[in-house]
Amino acid sequence: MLKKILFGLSAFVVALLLGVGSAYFMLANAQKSGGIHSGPWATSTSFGSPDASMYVRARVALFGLLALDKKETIYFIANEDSEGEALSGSCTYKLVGTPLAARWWSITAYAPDSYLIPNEAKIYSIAQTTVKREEDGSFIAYVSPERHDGNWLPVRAGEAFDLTARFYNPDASIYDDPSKAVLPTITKESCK
Amino acid sequence: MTTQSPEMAKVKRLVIWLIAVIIMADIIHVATIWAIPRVIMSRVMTVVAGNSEANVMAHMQRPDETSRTVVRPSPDLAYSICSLDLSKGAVHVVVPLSAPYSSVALYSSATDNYFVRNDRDTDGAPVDIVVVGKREPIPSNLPPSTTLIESPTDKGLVLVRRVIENDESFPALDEMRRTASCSTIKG
Repeated sequence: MLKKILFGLSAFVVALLLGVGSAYFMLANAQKSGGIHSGPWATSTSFGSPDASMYVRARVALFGLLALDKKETIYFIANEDSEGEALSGSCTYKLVGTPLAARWWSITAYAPDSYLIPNEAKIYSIAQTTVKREEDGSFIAYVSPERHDGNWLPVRAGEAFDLTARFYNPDASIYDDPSKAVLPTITKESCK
Repeated sequence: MTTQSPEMAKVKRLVIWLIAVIIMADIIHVATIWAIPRVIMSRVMTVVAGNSEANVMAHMQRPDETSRTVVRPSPDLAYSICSLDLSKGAVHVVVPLSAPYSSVALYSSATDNYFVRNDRDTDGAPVDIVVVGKREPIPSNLPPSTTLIESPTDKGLVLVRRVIENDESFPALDEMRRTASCSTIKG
């Protein structure tokens, strides 16, 4: 009898570890951002959608709960710079771009826990209505722990971060083919 | 008739054990992935309902680094939220909208965004909807000129997003968003 209980219990414990462990591994290693790329930026068109797979739905719940459907808003996330290197709060990055093709847009920096990054200046994003533009309408922004003149997104030294670009009411061309979306380049300028 | 050797019996038990592990691990894996959005959404609804009752509109503080109820808050938006419990009856939601962008979105308890209207869709007019549960009766006293929306789940959320153009515009936006309502229809 004891043998049978141990047989069943050991099988259940191993299955529990494998089942929960494999779920954690798949979600932790899957990109937060989805599989469609435009430079260092990535997205998925099924965020927030009732058509999303259960894996996308679980990832959205963990990394972007209450996302909107793609026709309402498209979210692009960058975890790396334009050279493919992971974004680090110990470096200074230069973002160069043109206004995003949407009715309203913003670019926000998030800590690894997906919350806003504490900073004395209380600056968390650059947005359509507040971004300082160049004469030709384009914009340049710096992402760094030290204050910069002009558009500046503060991050924490020694900590990873990511950037989220939100396209509210994107142009139809963006949700039809997000890989053709024009987003800022992210160039590493220096590191400490 | 052949008798099974002790070694064969051990191998057979091991094979049965492995098959049992694989089947149970598959079930637990799928159950975990399925449960994650529902557990997280339930926690968010509990937190929201903890601050106010279900079917009542609540207005969140401007997002900053202390905003930790929902991941990835947008610092450029003023949020209002209503935790829906449609088992108590249909819910009437009326929200005035503002430029340059505002929207009213409905989410099921599985996190799906099954309805959204923005200020461009309504030409700036308020969103006026009645949300009813899938198995709940449609109220006989529906307000005129309202739109009926069927929710796939009895519990869920209404989330209002309102762009804050700059710091100076926030007080007027805040005043406007406080006129929004979310209330159970009696009868």
